[in-house]
Amino acid sequence: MANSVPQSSKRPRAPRGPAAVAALYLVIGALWILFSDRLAESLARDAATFSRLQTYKGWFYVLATAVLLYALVAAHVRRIHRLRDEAQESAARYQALFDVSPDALFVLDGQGHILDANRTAIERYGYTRDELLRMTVQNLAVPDLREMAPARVRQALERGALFEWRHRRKDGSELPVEIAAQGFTWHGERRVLSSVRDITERKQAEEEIRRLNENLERLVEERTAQLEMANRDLEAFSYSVSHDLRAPLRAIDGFSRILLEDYAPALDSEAQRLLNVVRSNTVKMAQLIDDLLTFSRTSRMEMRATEVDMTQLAREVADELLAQEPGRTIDLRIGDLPPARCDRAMMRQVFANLLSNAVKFTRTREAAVIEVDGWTENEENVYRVKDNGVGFDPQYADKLFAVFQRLHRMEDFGGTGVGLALVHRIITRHGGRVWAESEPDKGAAFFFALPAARGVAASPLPPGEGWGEGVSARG
Amino acid sequence: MPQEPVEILLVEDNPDDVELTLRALRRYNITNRVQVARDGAEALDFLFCQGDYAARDCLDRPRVILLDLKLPKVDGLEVLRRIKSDPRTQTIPVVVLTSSREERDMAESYRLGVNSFIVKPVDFAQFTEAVRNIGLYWMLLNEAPR
Repeated sequence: MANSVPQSSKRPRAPRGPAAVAALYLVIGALWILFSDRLAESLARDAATFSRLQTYKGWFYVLATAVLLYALVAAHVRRIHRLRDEAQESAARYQALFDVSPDALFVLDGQGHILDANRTAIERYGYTRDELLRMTVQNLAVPDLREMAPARVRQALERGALFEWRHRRKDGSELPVEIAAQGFTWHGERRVLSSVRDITERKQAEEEIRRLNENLERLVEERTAQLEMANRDLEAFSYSVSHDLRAPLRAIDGFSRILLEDYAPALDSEAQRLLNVVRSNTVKMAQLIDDLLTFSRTSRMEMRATEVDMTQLAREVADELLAQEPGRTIDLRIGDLPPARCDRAMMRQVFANLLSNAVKFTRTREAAVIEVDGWTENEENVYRVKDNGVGFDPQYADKLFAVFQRLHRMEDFGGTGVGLALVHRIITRHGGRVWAESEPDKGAAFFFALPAARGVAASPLPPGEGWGEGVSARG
Repeated sequence: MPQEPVEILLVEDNPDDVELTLRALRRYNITNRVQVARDGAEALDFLFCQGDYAARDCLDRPRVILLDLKLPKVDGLEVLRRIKSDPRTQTIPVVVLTSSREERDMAESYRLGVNSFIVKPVDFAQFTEAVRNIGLYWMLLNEAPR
């Protein structure tokens, strides 16, 4: 590399300078010869003086020439020394750059012979410089890549190349590398400068990532399998509950009924009342089983999201509910609800549970008022079911949505305590949230919010305005 | 074995349910023509006149089969599949009478060609009503090809 210093620009521009000097010397010399004698003649009065002047003149000429020659040669020698120093310094600088590179650098010829290698290469591969200079890149490659090496050298020479490769050190160990190789002209010949980066760490990191990914996949598979098994167990369990828990209930109810029908004369009224208690409990138990099954099924059921007209859905549910309560005065108002993207059957269950709760807990009111409204805020569609019923103590609001939690005594209001838990689960599965507000005896309001689906026109109605019918908002 | 032709084959393993069903059917005075099979295998033996029923007259087919789904040995869906895939029995109306409310049971039953699928109510009055309706419909109104 030391002799690769670019020199062309520094070479002294040849013949013109020296020729001018020579010509000038000729002219001055000729003039001196021509005029010095005349001067001497005019100064000398006799031949002896003239002869002496001639001698002085000769000495002076030789002296002047010697001084001139010395000055010229000295200047030239200094210049040469300076140029050499500069060249050496430059070469050392380039050598240092060449050696300090964190990548191993090789200069190759078109056949892949190594013409030069930097210190990094020598240190990394364990060969001496002389050994390397007797090798080709084929000798460096691992055996299975050797045949492909010449093609890579050609490619680098023609258009440059960047590729991953595997090398083998002198001690036989393998080294994953990334090679950036580029053709260039060196001493008038096409050569390849090959920059070889050690990517051991990168490969290890890649390997680590691959291993972690595999582990993760295996873990996910295991967990999925466990979950699937748990799900199957749960299905088997609920199937069993559905079938096996019902059969004894039917027997209890059936045989009690038979007793009541066939042995009525033998039973006094208290005995008959007790048997009826037994029977009414079997009905409650059956309802509990049904609710629990619905609850567990809702968690497992696949969701089919569609665009749902919530106003229409609430209306349908409300109409069915009102039809079951012919004896009561219920003012049920439904405002314009923002449409939602959700599972229609599940959302129907939500409205059914919230509305039937409202109907149930307004039973003690002479005129029940139930309002359903909804609006969009903060990218959520919020829906509210509000009643003027008995309400609940807000202190226990967090217990409302837990399964089997009841805030009212059974003899006041029936129910299994599953309804709101089901609402909670359905809304949570839709990525939404539920909450409730109330004061005892001042009615209750149940809210649920669903993420506003993009592309669904949101209703801009603020709460309490824009009722479809019965304009008066409740105070 | 009763000499009279069997009108109803009741496939049910729960003796209480058997008794309640028979009681509900009693009003039609056909309880002596109800054959009870206590598991799926027995039901198939009866229908295809094999095993304990090898001596039976196979032309005497029940007019309706009341089938529980959860049965020992051979389960109800398998019994249904065998009934509906055999030309000797496929025209007999089958009513699945089960405690199960699993939708997949219902879907699978209809896929296999069940004629009715009834979830047994826990309430005895409703249960009696359901069994009576089945009896009324399949025994009195429906003329099964014989």
